[in-house]
Amino acid sequence: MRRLDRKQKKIILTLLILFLIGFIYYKFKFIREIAVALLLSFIIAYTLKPICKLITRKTNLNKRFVAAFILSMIAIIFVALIAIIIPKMLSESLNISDIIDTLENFIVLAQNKVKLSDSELFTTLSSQFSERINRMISGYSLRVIDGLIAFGENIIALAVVPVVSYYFLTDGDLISNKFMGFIPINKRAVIREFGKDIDKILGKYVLGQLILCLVVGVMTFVFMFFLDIKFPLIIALLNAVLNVVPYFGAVIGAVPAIMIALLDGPMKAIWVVIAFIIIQQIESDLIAPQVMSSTISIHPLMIIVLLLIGEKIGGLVGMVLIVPIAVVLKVLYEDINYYLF
Amino acid sequence: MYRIKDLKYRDVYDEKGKKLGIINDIAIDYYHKKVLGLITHSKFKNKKNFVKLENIIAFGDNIITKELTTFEGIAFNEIKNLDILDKSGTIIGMLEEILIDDEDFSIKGITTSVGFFDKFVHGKRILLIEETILGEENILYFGNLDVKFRNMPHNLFKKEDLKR
Repeated sequence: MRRLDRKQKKIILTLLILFLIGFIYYKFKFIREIAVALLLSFIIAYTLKPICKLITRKTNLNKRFVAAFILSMIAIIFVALIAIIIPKMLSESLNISDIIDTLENFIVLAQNKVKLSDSELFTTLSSQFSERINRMISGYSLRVIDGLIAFGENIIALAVVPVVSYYFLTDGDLISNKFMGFIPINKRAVIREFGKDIDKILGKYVLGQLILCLVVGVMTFVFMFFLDIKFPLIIALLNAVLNVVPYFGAVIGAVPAIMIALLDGPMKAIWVVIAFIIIQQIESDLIAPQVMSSTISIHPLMIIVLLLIGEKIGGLVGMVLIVPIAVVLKVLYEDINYYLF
Repeated sequence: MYRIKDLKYRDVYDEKGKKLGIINDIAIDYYHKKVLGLITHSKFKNKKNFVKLENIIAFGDNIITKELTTFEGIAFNEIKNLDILDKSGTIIGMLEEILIDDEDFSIKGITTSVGFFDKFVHGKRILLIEETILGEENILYFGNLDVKFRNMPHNLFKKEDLKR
């Protein structure tokens, strides 16, 4: 075998190490859990970093104090949400069957009005349809329960997340400096420039998303409150969180609101739909372009394609994460384009 | 020599320290081959987004200017990616970058790219701006086709490149 030169040896070594890491990752489940917990903490810390910086700058408090404060606030809100939602959902869960009955009555009413029930095709269609919906609902509730159980299993890892996020928030720069030690010296400056550019653009994206989500949440709460829909706070929070998914988030967020509105009758549901359309239009036409346009120079069609891919790969989480990932890739391409020439 | 990427994304402040925006674009006079100023993107769609070159007090990673004014003319983002044709109508490439002299902000040349991935293989061509004419839909290059200035990709981590 002819002697391998230095470059080939380096490539083979890197490939071997990567392969080893991937192997360990798949073989040992606990490594995966640790990795997921670390990733989650990193994402939380990165999202909160601009807020932390803003507050530290405006109030001149110590950075550690601000970080601890923000994280404990979020942890408290999270726990409070769970403590309020679960008992409420359990007490109202009897109403779910009410909702489904109302829906069925509604459909039967519509059928009678339209007088199509004589046609055999229509009865077959509607029975198929209702069977599908039944299966969908039972499958979905099974998945929710499975998710809750998995959540409980990982409770230790999840208790760690706030603490790790705190350390990422306060000592993130130190950690990234240490990380640079893995990279050979002559490459370090360029990689650092890459990192700075990615950080700049991602930071703007995150800040823009946070502002948008806040605006959507407030608007949803106001609308739901005035329309006298039950659980306005929860619907508003849900919609605010789902707003990070471009285009589809509003649709997904509207579904529970419509279902709860149907309890009070179809008129309310129509009002809810109108309200959501108004909210979505205000947000996407007036506010979002102002907040986001200069930074995310990705064409909307591309974003839709990315969302579809993201949904296939990772479901809801995939849809949320794929736009930032695409942004990072775009920045990397442009930087390589710059540095290579 | 500045490229567009060097000038983009710098913060713009006024004399009192208030942040006015971020550089998004540059305003050019193609005929006189000069950069007239920088265009910012601020939070509100403001007509006053133009930093005249004469109004700039300090120029570095952050730019301090006296005031923002309105601008009418061509911004680089409008002519980016225009096709560049030679005298017989064949496409030489797409306008990608402008090379700006760092002393007097005159435009010395333009960079054309041949494709998103091809450019890493074939390199980019640099054309002198006085040998081009800006049109409505294309740019005409009437210089000598046999003399080609090429910008070839090199090792990503050259030491000389590490200063921005």
